[in-house]
This record gives sequence, structure tokens and C-alpha cells, in this order.
Amino acid sequence: MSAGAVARSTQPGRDRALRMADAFAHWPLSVRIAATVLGLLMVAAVGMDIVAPLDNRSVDLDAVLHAPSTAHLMGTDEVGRDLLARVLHGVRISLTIAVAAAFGAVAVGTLVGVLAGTMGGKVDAVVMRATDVFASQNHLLFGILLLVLFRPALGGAAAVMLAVALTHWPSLARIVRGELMSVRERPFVAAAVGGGAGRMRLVRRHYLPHLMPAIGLAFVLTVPHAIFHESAYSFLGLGLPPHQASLGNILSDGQRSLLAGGWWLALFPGLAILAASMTIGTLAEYWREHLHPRWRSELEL
Amino acid sequence: MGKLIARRLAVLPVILLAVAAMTFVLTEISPFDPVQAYVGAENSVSVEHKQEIAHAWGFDQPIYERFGRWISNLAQGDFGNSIVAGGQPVAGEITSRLGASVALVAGALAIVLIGGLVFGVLAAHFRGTAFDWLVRTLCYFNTASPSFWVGLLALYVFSIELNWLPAGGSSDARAVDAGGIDLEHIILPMIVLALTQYAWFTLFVRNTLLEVLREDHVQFARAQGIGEVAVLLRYALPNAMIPFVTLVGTNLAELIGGTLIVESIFGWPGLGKLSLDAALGEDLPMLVALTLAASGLVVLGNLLADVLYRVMDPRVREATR
Amino acid sequence: MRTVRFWSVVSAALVLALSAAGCGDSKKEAAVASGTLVIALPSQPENLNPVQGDNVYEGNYKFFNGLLRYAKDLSPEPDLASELPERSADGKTVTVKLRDDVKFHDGTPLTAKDVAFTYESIVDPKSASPLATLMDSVDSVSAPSPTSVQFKLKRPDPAFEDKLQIGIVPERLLKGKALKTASFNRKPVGTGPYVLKEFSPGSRIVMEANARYFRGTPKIKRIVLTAVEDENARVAQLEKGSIDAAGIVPKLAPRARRNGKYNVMEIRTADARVAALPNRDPVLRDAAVRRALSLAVDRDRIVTGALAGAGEPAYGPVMKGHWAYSPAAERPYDPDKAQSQLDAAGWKRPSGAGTREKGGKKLSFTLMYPADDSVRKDVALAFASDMDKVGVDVKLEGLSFDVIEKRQDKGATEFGYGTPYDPDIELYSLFHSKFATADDDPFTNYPRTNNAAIDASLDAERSKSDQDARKQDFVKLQEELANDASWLWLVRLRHIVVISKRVKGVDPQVEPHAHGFSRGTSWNLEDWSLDGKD
Repeated sequence: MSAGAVARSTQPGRDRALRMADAFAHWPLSVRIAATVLGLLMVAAVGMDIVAPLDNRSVDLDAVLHAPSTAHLMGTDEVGRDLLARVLHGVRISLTIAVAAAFGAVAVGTLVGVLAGTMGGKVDAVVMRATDVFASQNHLLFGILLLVLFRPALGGAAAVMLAVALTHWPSLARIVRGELMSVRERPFVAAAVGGGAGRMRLVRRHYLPHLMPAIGLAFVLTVPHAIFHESAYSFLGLGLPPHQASLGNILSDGQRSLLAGGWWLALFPGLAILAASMTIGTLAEYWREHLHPRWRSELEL
Repeated sequence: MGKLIARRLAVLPVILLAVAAMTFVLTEISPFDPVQAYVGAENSVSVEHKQEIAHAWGFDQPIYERFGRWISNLAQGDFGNSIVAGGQPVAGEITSRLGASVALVAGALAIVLIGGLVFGVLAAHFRGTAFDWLVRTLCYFNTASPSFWVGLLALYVFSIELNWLPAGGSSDARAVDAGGIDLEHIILPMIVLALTQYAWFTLFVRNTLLEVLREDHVQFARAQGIGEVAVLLRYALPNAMIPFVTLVGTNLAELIGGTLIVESIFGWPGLGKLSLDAALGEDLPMLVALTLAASGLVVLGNLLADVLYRVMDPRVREATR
Repeated sequence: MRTVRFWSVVSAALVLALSAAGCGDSKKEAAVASGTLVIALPSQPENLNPVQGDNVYEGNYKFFNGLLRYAKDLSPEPDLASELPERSADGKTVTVKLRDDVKFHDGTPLTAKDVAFTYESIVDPKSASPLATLMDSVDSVSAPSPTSVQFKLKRPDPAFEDKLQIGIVPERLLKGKALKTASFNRKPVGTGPYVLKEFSPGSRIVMEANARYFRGTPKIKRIVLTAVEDENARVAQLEKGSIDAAGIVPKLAPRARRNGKYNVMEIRTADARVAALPNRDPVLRDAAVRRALSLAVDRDRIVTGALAGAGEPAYGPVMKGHWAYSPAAERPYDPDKAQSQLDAAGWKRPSGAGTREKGGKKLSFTLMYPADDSVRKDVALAFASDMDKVGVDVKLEGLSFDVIEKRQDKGATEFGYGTPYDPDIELYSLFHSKFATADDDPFTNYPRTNNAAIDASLDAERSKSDQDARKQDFVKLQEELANDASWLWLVRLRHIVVISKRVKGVDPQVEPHAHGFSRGTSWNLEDWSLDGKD
């Protein structure tokens, strides 16, 4: 590439790939491992869905509870299904739900935070007090209350997303509001106001773009929590319907067969949850170290 | 200090009212039929009888009256009757199971605080070494490990395969006197519950300590020739403890939630298991009461933390006198 | 100074916390009573009031007696009654003579008024008793004398003797109380061989032998019913010896057998798993399709795979060996025949593979099952797999019954039914078109069958009292049911019960649909004894 900043590369894709590879090489070892494992997990999960879509009918009552072997790398479950296949499907399902749930939490949190931050005054006070009430609730307990209320009508997946969104939005709202407060102080805001910008315009064109990195980071930081919550609710029997391969469901099913010799049923699904959580968490933490070191205590969700 | 406590306690009913209002609103907007929950999930209840019960709880009235009646019931301690407790009053059921959960949470909190302190301090002291790396890595793994998985593996390995500890329950079923909770039965669920909070707390202690160690007064102490251990324990640690104390409240809140999972895995007869049974049985009166109880406990926990904070830091005490 | 204060606060907190956690363990060394039998149940019974009991078979935890009880062979024999009931000529009046030597646990004598009160409470709509439908033939009940009870029935009910097993409660303690919420539900007072000593919510129930039991004091002086939900924990506690008896899942039976201290019993039951197919579903409304589905189920495989061999195939509502049983409904597994029958009904597989289609619609339906039951889930999965092999697409959904009842016409549901007692108790409300109305109760005639031949045989069996004559009606019923095929009977379970070898006198009856350690095993609990020392 030439030294001139104006010159455009003839191979923008390749350059971007090279830059990414370069960045990758500079990451700490733990972050590189995390990114690799996560990448493999996602490829395997998506690939599994294409190669062998989840088929609950693939029971094999002759192969019930077989220990891990070359035929079944993670063993089989209580109706003879291959555990590896189920776990990979579970990763995809759990990740999808968790991402959607985290998105919901961030959406609500952003809405509330922006509302409180832009309106100020009494609205701000009332909204923040309401946020405090929600924030004081223990996540799991409040979550199961929400699930009891909404699950029969919305179904497992939607209800879990709602439960995660309604339990996690408070801290996100606080962060967004805090960020917004500091953005408001910046000179370009005064300039925009002086130029006659109304509130909505301020929000859209001035605040939000500056909030985006923070919101994005908050989103990624929420995903591991969402993974935990979805699998916890499913494990307890309050989340996804039991025959769906959520990692929590697989673990819950496996629980009954532990003593019949099925240790693999308890080990592998949990390892998958651990892997997904930890890799995403590590990457998110690294991003946070770069971007927002002072967020340390606020996002202890 | 007395004024602080009095002020906080006065706010408690307001907070509970707000929480009650929130649950009321949620119940109203959800498609869930609360009448079924308060009447009991029986198909054979006559229409007149349903109406009677609905009237008692104000379900046949406009929303303001309904709320008012509901709140006044709650304020008098009448939380309704529990489906999962054989029609018995909710409040009585909660108080009878409270002790078991308190024991579990208290023990777990102790482990978290002690263990977190010890290992956080050690990791800060040996920062950069393999030991520090080990502690941190184990903590990272712990925070990402779901508690129900850890609990299941613990039950399986220690109770079932190795046979070192009992497999669930709070006491020997054969014992003549059921009043007790014995150590053998509580130790495993207590440790598993502690593990839900232990890791991030240890990391927090370590990181806060490291920050404090960079502060001026610590450098000054070092410059005076005071040994590193003494610096750590007498100069750095007490200052780090101040934010630490306020986290006791957070820890407590999280541990309460953790009992939901731990008690169900170990068959521990406490409020966590009761919450889960209530959720599976769609027992709304019980869930509402537990939500309020948990909120109350969190507020009290925070109050306790603030009191401790003031006890420990004379500067703040002076300022608030 | 700050450091001293700090450490003293910390140590005070620790001491406080640890003492809160460790309190009470010293009592463990105190008397672990000899002669105690510990039984583990999958969940703690929440309501010990027989009038509020889920059904006639459970909830009768030895605190109560009924007018009659079942002998080992399930024939009714007198319990609180002094002899078997007398029927009037038209069968509509039943008179029961009571024993005069029975006292409640609190010392008050049992009289006919208590019996009348018990049955009145069940029938009274205000008490919302789950047993109300069972007693629907009762018009009134009265106590003409302290030792005689008279039932006036709306119809001559041949199965009435099977309905007199319900525990009798003392009128004195329950009159005027709201039965759903009475404290009696946790503090039962009955006439039974055991008295409640302790009820620890979520944990255990302790019962002690009733010294004034009218049949003599039971040999086992103390019985503890402890709640152990986790299947593995139950087996682990058996292995450790902390419990003496429990019902376990079939998969864990081999492990329990390896421990030589226990007898592992496989008890035959009437408890069957059955898929109820809604008649209004566009795909399932064709009886020919339903019959074909039944041929496509590999029941033996389900027994070996999903039940670990603890069970037998089921083809109808009546179990083999029952007096009313007819083998006419048995059709062997024949997937090829099923396929050709489906072809004949117009449902063809596009290019020989995949889900069958007819007029652009797919041969697909939903099967719902209660989400918390793992055995039902496994059976449902096996069923769906068999259906898939013949080109039928079954979507599975694990739900709660509250949701299921709202979707009664929109999908099939996997139920558990089975009674070894008089079939009329269960079958009438399951199959008669009277119950096919738009009521919300999923437990009565779920498919909404409206079949005149089925109705006729049900009405016929119910109107006779001679067993041989009734048998003819039941045989006809089973044939019609097999033809109609709205109910797809799959398998009949065996309950696995593990009991310490120290326990003598265990002699299980054939059990009905039940959960955990049920009445079929514990029917003669008061006659058991414990060998040797503790």
C-alpha cells in the first residue's frame, strides 16, 4: 500500500483480512485462544445445523446410554441420540436465544437510559427510581416470576428472552444514561443546540452515534449472562420446551441418567455452556479494557 | 448512626410498596389469569365459589380498588393461600422454611468473604507469579461455569461416586429430632452456593488491592521501610475493605438467587426450593410473597453493609454525624 | 486502630455466620430411633386431607381408613365397615354397617355422622373436591343410626364398592371450615394405623404407630416419609442406608440390584401411557388413519428402550389379567400394513419418501406431553420416531396441563391412565360422548369421541350388576375402541420399588396410575415388621 492516505487499495477485502490477522496476532494469548475456540464452536454449531438438522426423531432405542466411543464421541443419551450432535445444536439454540435476549435487554436499557438522560429533571428522577426498583430484584427470582406470568402465552423461547430483558435492562439503562450525561457536556452538543436542534434530532444524530460503542460493548458483555440465564431456566424446567436441545434441557435430561452411568450427559453440555460463556466473556473483557476501564463495577450483572 | 438506620428502615415500606406495585402491574398486563392462582388450579370449582374468592381479592373490581384491596391484604400479612403448600397460608410456609435458607446463605456468605479475602490478598501479594495466574484462571473458569452444572457434578462426584457426603436433604431422615441441620448435609450445598459468588469476589479483592497498593500513602509506608506483608495487611487492605463491604449487599442478593438452583439440586428444604416449586406449580401468591421477601432482604442487606461501612471508616462516620 | 476494628468486625461476622450454619448438628448423635422405617417419595405430599386428595388411590397415607379396602387380590373387603355393604333390590340404596370400636386419633369415637360428613363434603360443589366426579352417582348420604350409613344413588352404580375406599374424616374438626385451606390438611386426624407426629414442609413427614388402632398396634413404630426429588439421590441414599424404601426409575434398577441389602421389586401395574388423538383434527379425524398409526408403533421396542424392559405393550384401557380384559384389541406391530393402509386412505409419500401428503396437506400432527415427566418424554420421542418411519410427522411439545387444556382440539396429548379396579371408574368419563362437550377439562374424553357403539356398551355395563354380563359389555367396548382408535395405547409400566431386606411383610398389589411409592405397595404397611436391630 502506498504512503498516501488518499490512495485506495485495489484489494480492500484482502487488506481488511490482513489487518484483522495483524490485530489478531497482537492480542494476548488468552484472547486469541478465546476467539479461536468461539469461532470453532460457532462454525461447528452452524455447520451441524446444515449437515444434520436437529431431528428429534433420530432416537435409537438400541443405543441407549452408551459411553463415549469412536462412534459417538460424547456418548449417547437416554433415547440413544448422539450427544455431540445434540450439544452442537444446543450451542446454536442457546447462543441464538441468548443473543436475542441480550439484544432485548440492551434495547430496553437504551430506551430508558436515553429517555432519562435527555428529558432530565423530574422525568429523570422518576425513571431512575423505577429503574432502582427493578434493579433491586434478584435476577433469577424475578425471572421465574416473569416466566410463570408470560410463558404459557408466549412460549418458552420468547418468555425467556422477555425474562432476561426485564431483569438486565436496569444496569444497562444506568450505563447508557451515564454515557449520555458525559456526551451532553461535549461542545458539539452545545453547537447543535445552538443551531436549533430539537431533542429527537439531538438523540438521533448526535447522541446515539457516540453511544454506540458503549452500547455495543454492553451488549456483548450481557450475552454470557443471557447464556447462563437461558440455560438455568431451561434446566429448572421453566425455559425452552424440554425436547428442544437447549443446553440446559440436555443437562436436565441427563440429570436423571447420572447413576445409570451417564456421567458424560452431565459433563459435556456444561462444558459447552462454559466454553461459550468464557470465550465471549474474555473477548468482551478485552474490549472493555480498551474502551471503558471505569465500567468495572457497573456491569457486574 | 441511629438516624441512618431509622431513615433506611423508614424507606423500606416504600420500596416494598413499589415492588408490590410492579408485580401487580406485571400480573395485570400478562395473559396469566391470577384468579386461577388464588382460587387454586382445580377444574371443579363452582362458578359461585370462584366469584366469592375473586371478590375477596378484589378481582371483580376496577383496577384501583383491586390494587388497594390487594395491598391492604398484603400489609396485614395475608398473602393468600399457597397452592403448592396444600392450601396453607403463604406467610406461614415461608417462615417455616426461612431457617434452612438462612443457614445455607449465611454459611456460603462466610465462605465467600473469608475465601475471597484470603485468596484475593494472596493473589495480590504474589502478583505476577504462577500462583496468581492459577487463582485468576480458576476464577475466570468459575464465573463462566453455570452453578447448576457445578452443583450437579459436585453431587455426583462427592456424594454419589466417592460417597463422602450425604446425597441431598438437610438432615438424617432417621433422626428423632428434626430441628437440626447437620454439618454433613450442609457443607456441600454451602460450598456450591459460595462458588457462585466466590470467583468474582476474589478477583475484585485482588484488583482493588492492586489499585490501592499504587496509592501514595502505601508508597510512603514502603519508603519508610515497612515490610511488604505489613504494608499489605495494615495499610492497603483496610482501605480496600471499604468498597468491599458495600459489596456484601450485592453478594447477599446474588446468593439468595443462587439458592434457587442449589436447593433444588440438593433437595434442601428452604425458600429457594419453595420458589421453584411455586413457579412450577404456577403458585402466584407464593411467588409474589417471595419476591417481596427477597426485596426486603436485599434492602436490609444493603443497610447492614452501609452500617458496617460507617463502623469501619471513621472519616465517613465523622462526616455523617 | 482501624485495622483492629476491621479484623474484629470481620471475625465477629464470621463467628455469627458459622454458628448460624452449623447449629443443630449435635442432635445427630442423639437417639436415631430403632425400629424406624424411612421411605423416600419423589415429592412431599402437600395435602393430607383425603377429601382433597387427588384421587382415590393416593393421599391416603395411613392416617385414615375407608369404609372398605382392597385385599391383596383387589377384591373389596370391610375396613371401617363391619361387613360388606347391602344393596337394595333396585340397586339405588346402599347401606353400610359400621364397626363400633373405632376411635379417631384424638380419642373420639367414629360414628356414621363422620362418614356422612365425609361424603357430603366431597359432593358439595363449594368444597371443590377433586373426587366430586367420582362420586357423581351419589344423590344423598345419611346416618340413620350411629353405626349405619345410607347412600341414595341416582343410578344403580355397579362400581360403587370401589368408591368406598376414601378416608373418613372427623366431622367435629372440619365442619364449617373451608376445606381447601383448613389447617387439618397438614394436621390430619383420622382413624388410621399411623398418627402424624411431625410435618416439616419440604422435608419429611413422621408418623408413629397408633396404639389404639382397632386392628392392633402396627409393628413398625415409626415411619418417616422423606421427600427426595432427584432420582440419583434416591438411589444413592438407598446405597448409603439413609433410606429403606423408595420407588425408582427403571434405568437405575440394575444399580440397585447390585447392592445386596435390598429387594428390587418390579410391580405390575395398570398404569399405561396412551396418546389421545383429537377427532376434530383435520388429519386425525379419519379412523382409518388412526388405526394405521396404531399398527406402526413398535411397542416392544419402547418397552426395552424407553422403559428399560420394565413394562409390557398396551393395546387398550384394560390390563391383561383383569376380569374385563379382552385380547381382541391386540394388533401386532406391522409397519408395512400401516403404510399400505395409509396409502389406501389417500395419504401418499411423495416419491416414496418423506412425509405423506393428501391434497396438498401433510400428514402431520402435534403430540403434547407434561413437560416434567421424563418417562413420558422418552415414550413420546420413541413414538415420534416410529411415526417418522412410516411417513407421519409428529411435532412434540412439552407443556403444562393448563396450556394443554386450551389446545384440546389442536393436538394429541400423552396421558397416563390405568386402573386395576372397576373399569367404570375411569372409562366412562374417558370415552362417553356425554363428556365430549365443549368443557375445558382435558381429563374427560379428550378426543371428543362421539361414537354410538362405544356409548351403548358403556351405558350397558353400568346398568348391570352381574360381572359376567358386564364382561360382555366390556369386551364389546374394547373392540369398538380398537376400531375407533381415538386412543393410541402404547405401553403399560412396571413400577420399580426397592425395599430393604430388613423389611418383612411386603406384598404389593397390582397398582393403578400413580406417582412414587404408592398405595399398591403400602396397602398393608401396618402389617410390616423390621428385622434385627437398626
